[in-house]
Amino acid sequence: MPRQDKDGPPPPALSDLAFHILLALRDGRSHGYEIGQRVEELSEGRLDPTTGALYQALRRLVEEGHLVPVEPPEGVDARRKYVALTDGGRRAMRNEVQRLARLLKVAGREAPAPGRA
Amino acid sequence: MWMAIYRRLLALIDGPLGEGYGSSIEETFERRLAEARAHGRWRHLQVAFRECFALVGLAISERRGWRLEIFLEDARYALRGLVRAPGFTLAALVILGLGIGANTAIYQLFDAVSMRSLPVPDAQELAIVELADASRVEGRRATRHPPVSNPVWQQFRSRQNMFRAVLAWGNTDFSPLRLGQDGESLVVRGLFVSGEFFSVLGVDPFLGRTFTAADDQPGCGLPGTVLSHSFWQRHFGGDPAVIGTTVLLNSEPVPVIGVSSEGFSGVEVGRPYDLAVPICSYQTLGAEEGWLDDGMTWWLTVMGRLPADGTLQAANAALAALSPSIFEATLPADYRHDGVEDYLSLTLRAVPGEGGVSVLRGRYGDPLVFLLATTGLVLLLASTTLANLILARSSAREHELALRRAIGASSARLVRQSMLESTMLAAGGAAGGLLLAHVLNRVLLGFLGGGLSLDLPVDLRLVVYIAAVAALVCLTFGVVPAWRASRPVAVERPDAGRNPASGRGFAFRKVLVVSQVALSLVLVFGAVLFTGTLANLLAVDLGFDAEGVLVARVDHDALRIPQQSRVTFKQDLLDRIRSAPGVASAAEVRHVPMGGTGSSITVWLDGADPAGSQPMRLNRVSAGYLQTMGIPLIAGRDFGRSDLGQAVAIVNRTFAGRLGLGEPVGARFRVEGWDGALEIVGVVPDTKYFDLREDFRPIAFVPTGLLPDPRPHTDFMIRSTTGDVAAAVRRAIREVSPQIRADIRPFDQTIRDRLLPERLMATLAGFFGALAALIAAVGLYGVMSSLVQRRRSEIGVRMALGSTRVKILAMVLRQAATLLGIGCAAGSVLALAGAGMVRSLVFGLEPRSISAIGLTSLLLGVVATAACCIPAARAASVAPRDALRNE
Repeated sequence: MPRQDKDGPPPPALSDLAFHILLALRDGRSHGYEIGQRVEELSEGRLDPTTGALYQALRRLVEEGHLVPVEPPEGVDARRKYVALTDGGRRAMRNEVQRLARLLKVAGREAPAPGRA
Repeated sequence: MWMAIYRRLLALIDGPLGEGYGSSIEETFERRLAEARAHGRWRHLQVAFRECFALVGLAISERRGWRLEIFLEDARYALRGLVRAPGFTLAALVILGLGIGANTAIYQLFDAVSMRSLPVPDAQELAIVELADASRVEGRRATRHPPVSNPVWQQFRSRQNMFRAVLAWGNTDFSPLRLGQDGESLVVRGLFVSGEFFSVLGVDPFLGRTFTAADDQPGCGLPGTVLSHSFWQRHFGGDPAVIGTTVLLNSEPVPVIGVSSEGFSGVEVGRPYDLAVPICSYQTLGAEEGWLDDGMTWWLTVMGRLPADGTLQAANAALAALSPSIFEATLPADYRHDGVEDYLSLTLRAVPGEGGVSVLRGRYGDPLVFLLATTGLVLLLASTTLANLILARSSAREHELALRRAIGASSARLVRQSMLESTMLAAGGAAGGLLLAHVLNRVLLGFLGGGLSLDLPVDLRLVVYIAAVAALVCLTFGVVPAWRASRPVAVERPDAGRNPASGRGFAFRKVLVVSQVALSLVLVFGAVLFTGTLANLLAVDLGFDAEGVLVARVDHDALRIPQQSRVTFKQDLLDRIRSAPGVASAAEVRHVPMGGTGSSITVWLDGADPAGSQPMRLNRVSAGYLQTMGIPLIAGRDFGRSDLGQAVAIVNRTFAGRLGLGEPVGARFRVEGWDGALEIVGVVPDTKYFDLREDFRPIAFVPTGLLPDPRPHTDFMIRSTTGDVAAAVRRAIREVSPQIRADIRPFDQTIRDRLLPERLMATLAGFFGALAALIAAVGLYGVMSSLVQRRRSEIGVRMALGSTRVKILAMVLRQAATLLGIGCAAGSVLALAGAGMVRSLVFGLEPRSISAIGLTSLLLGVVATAACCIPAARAASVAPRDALRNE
């Protein structure tokens, strides 16, 4: 993923699920089942992806360079595939946070405060 | 189980997701499932379903680049559209359900009767070994299946090398086995089988064992019986302790040695067997003596299993070479001298035996093919009707389609939605059709009756068939609106969407309705042919008067009357029947006319050259037969009591004519294989022997007692003065012995049973014909209504300019008549082209006749014209002011 040019077009938004997956991997490598658990925790139950959908998202993130497959720790189930954030992934995560913050600012300016018509 | 399903689904996703992630996905799914299981069974199921369903969607989107969400959205939209048009949807589902259901029902019957293989391993290796020309066989034929005698079977078995293994069997319809159990006695469907019967077929025992070659040796007595699985379930409650118990067969104790595997019901389609005994046990259980050694009794059917690399041609070549030695070794000692050459030149041949044997195939094979073709036409008719309905509906939705296209919907999406709608209708129709087929088949089998037992499973084969039919139907009626959806239409067209007869589709609708009329004509033609055939058959002169006559089959097997006392015993029975109140007359008969059995003899005039002998039919009757059957005497006299066992005969006109007898009474003739000559004492008119379709045959009636009759039952014909004498006759019979059982039924039921295939055809063809006429009428009504709507303004102008209502009516009807006329002409061509194919099925009328077509066109025309009167009347009642206001 190329470095974002300050004057260039904004990077595309991450999907809700992709963003939460990157968040879940903030603290280090993890595998499918654990990532799914963390996504559900972080979204407070709002997101509960099926196994298939989760791995499809993981695969796309690997293709886009946000994640990379890594070696599993010693002594774990051999079937588990571990992934970790790349630098590009961290950047994408930061960009998304900034985008969401900008949106909030716009919403705070334009939208009525809660309680008013 | 869920892991296995999930793995299967995962295998559908080959490619980037599957590769490298497969095992990880499995592990994750396993853990999720375990977690859900801890929350209860319901949660477990929820998660399992959700995960599997998601994987299916993923498989689709991964492979095709489709998005499942869009697909689901389109499906929801299509479903909404159908729900919002309940009238149309219901009509479509009913039409499709009827068409698919009728077609599926007939297909199931056809499949079970003609196509299905025996449920044994490698059924394609099986062949039936039969006489190349069974009509040249002399003697007694005791089976409706390809027959050989036991000596021929024994020789064949020891000499053959073209088959890996061979078997023989004979069913016991000719002399039923009776199972005695706790005082109860019931007739069972038995098989006499060779020792290797089960092993050659590859049928393993479910319990105990099946026979081996050692069980079928001469003089074996009663080594045991093998029960069929379903019989064991029905009569022994599936009790495993049945092995080793003893049952009474024809009052003889026989040990039960095994139960055959589930799903195997013998090799006769339509007649599942109850129990089997070895052929050698016939010595003890069979009613007639000497059959095992008798080269003139043809009662066994032989099958063989071809070797892995064997072909039927090779087997036939080998059989042709082997046949002379077999028939030389089995020539009966008392065979007619001038028939010896014929016997020695008999040959055996092998024919495919994958589907076993079936009397049904012979009787119903052709009618079922015809009915399958008919229901195919009905399906086509249903599809064109539906296409017409959908076209009418989509004309009204043109505005909506144009608007959607204007705001960005692609043609592909519109086509997809249209096809989805058609697919949903087809799927709904298929589901309804499956239900209807189930009901229809129960009704059909009940109609055919008579102990017919056919397995009609709902299996993968049937589901694939229905899916294929539904897909074909869907394509037929779905492609037109889909194509229309793909073509752009300008929104600015003033009448787009508001006029159901607008658009280029209308011309196509006319084409559709013409094809509907044509198809309907073909179906109505079929109805005319087959109801005509049935009517003709029912009007056939039988030569006797069947009304008020009963047939009584009296089963006296339990009494074990010795042969020498039988004549007296039967005479006593007959006297008692005659004395029952309400009985006008009664007589014993060997072959109930049209009852499906018969015998033939070869005769020549006494003193003439036997080389001039001719085949004739034979029946043995007692005194009083002519009176009971209402057969008048042309010359001579009827049999009297004193004729019992005497060498006299009554012959019919055709018999006398064949022998060139101008004055038959007093003439004498000889019968091949009989000592002495018979004297003709009476002449009667011709009567039917086997069935209604045959020409009158030469028949000789001889007195009962002339030949031994070892059968365990006797048939009596009874004419009653009052309607209900069955009870009185039964009482009279029971006075002889309460162990005698009598089955009494009206004689015209026997005749009706012979006409079952024809009745089936007439009923179904009639039903489909009526349905087709109705559909054509409805289709024509729809098009004419749209046409009237379209020409409303024009009609208004005409009336304003002075045209009368009658002229308007005539104009509309003329247009309807044009469509009807073209349709009838096209249909007539089709009908006449196909008529030659049903020639063998019709009776008493020429299928390719102008009068039949004329009648058909008239019937259809009347129905269709009546339907068009409504839109025509509507046109004639148009108020010019209202019509012109809209202009």
